[in-house]
Amino acid sequence: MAKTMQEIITAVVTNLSMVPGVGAQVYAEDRIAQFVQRVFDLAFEEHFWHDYMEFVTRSLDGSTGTITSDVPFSRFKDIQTVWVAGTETKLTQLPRNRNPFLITGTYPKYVSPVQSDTRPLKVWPITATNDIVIAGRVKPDDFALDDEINLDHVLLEFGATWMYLEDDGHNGGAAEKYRVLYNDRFKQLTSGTFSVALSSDSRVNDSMQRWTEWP
Amino acid sequence: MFGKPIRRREETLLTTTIRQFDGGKNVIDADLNLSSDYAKELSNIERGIDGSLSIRPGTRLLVDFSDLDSAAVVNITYFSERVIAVLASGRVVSAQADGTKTSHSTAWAGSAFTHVSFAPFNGELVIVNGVDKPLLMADDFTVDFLEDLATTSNVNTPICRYACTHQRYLVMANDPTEPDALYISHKDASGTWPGDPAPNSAVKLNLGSIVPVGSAEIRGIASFRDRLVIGFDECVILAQLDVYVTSGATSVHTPNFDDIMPGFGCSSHRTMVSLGNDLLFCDFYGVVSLAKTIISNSLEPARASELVDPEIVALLQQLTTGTLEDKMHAVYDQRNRRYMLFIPNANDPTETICYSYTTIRQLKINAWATLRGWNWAASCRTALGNVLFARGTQIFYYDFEDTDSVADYKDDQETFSDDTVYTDGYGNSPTDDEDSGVPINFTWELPWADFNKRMYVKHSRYIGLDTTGTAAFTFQMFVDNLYQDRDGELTPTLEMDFVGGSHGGFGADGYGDVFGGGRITSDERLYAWTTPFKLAKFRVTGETKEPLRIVSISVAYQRGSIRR
Repeated sequence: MAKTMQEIITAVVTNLSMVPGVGAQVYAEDRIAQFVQRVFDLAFEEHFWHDYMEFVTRSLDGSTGTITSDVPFSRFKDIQTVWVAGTETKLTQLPRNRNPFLITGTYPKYVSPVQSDTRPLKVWPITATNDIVIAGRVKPDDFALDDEINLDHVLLEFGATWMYLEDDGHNGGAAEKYRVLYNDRFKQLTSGTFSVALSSDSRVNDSMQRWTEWP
Repeated sequence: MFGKPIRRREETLLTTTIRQFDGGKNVIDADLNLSSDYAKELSNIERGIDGSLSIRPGTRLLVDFSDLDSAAVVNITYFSERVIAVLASGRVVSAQADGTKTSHSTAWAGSAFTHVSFAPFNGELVIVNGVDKPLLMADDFTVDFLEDLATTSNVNTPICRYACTHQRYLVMANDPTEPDALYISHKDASGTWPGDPAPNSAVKLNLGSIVPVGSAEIRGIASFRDRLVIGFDECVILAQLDVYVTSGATSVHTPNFDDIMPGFGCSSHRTMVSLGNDLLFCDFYGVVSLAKTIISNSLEPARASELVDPEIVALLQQLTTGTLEDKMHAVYDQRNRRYMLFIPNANDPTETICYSYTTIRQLKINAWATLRGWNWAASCRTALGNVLFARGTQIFYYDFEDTDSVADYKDDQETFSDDTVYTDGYGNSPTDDEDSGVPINFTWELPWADFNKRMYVKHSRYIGLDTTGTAAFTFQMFVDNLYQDRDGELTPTLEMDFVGGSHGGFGADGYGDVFGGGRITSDERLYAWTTPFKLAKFRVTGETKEPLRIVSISVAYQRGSIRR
């Protein structure tokens, strides 16, 4: 179950053997909140977390290769996969050794990044007209104290505790403990993400006869 | 994701604890030359016998004489289990411990005096005012004029402002017509004075020719060990009484005045207090201590108030000599070994600032503090070590017994329902609340500290306080000479509210009190206290009716580089 920022801060305060309570730590809570936020930011970049994935369909304008409406992804690296709508065809990144303006036709083949907070990708050839389906992660705004964080709270707690303990310069073993705990927890989460069975052959086949992979 | 730390791990967290507070207030030395023993400001907090710093006791109303007389109290003394007061109307009254009030005399009615002095003699009490003939209160509390027992006349009884008892003689001084005159009564007879019939060894001596420097007007007299201490503006004479020169059949009382100490004087008779092994009094530059030396067995003067002299002198210099004589007074709190000197803040005072001097010679403790929030006209000590104060028509006492409350003016004033008082510090009166009294404002400020590494930056991490009591207080930390802004407002870098270690915690307080039970200092968990600094100054301040005792302050910090 997701926990709020305040709840995670309280857990970190307790880990640090500090006096917990609303407003009790005037000079620590803000810093711990920042540590929690930074741990989240770093973990968010490391993985496409299911809780933050979204799938959208957009049309292309047929002349510049851009989509006709905004997407919730603010950065190109937040986009995991782009399909041609209605197919299993995935678009790949524009190869560096190709002149993109010599790629012609109306069928989408490649994508490249664009500096934009709302339409961070461009499809090649620019004259492509099909709709595309985009899968990506949506980074939330920085969390307020009563915002729930849909990332494992234990991971955030361990990471923030480690960050604070490192600044203390005291009892290096305690800081190291939390660093190791954080890394182990991260591995647990990323290895167990696909608790639902994975298909080992992603080509279209609704038949029951297909290979599956169990984690 | 978090790789190995860059540097090799080592312990860099240091801790320091401040727990010695024997120095008291010190306004003379530069901050960085001071150890944490001393305080730059110590207001309504005193060094206790146990070595901690605690808020001074509160006061409680003993009696109000307004139903007997509307005139204000001029002076008080303790005599025969009663407090004796002389009111400005001339009435002599007394009060007992149970609050019973009695009027004894109006012999001085209509007299315009501003000063009263008392001298117990032979089980009776002599009262003088420098305007009228002296009064004598007998052991049954009847009051009459002091007179010669043989003639029942007081025609020869001098009129003086000051009186004291020394070695079987009653001594009076500061006759308004002869301010340098010293009157010594006949031995064992308080009413027999020069001019009364024999047998009479009484003498009158003019000391003007003996005073080597300054005015010859006698400012105060006191008995100390085997010497009569006579104070002038700029010198002190130690007289030896009971010395007789015999010529034939005639013996004349001829006191010895050969011990003269220039450079130390006396500004007020009412500040002369004997501590037994020390006599303290106030001159125009501070508090003088007169004590016996070990080797020569003579009395040696010393300046006891060196560390707070600038403040005392600044106060004294704005007062007239009349104000110093009439409105400055002192008392010795025997329970806590404190000499309490009260100096009015103006010629028409709105406050008498108390300089409290805790002196315990055996423990080498000499600590000054200031006590504020009072405007006492007089003070005295009882035989059981209680301390009484007078203001207007009221007598208050130092409430040592009430250890749960340090409020002032209990049974006389109270706060409003929002725990505030008037801007001048006075509370609502009369009080109808059991929880009466007004809060005491207290402040303790340490000098700037460099943690023994002046050039290095330190990074504070945690703060720990050891306290007892239940009072709420604010703990502040200033860094790197950032003390106040241009408007004089203090600018602490860090500030947090705490409650004393005896506080009950969450749920213990009633509605409207400390939110969530407050940050209890007895909680051994950590309070974050993070800031970089090269110099740090700590300050504790608050306003409370509850007790507080500060035992120690601990700081956990790291030492950084020299670059701020």
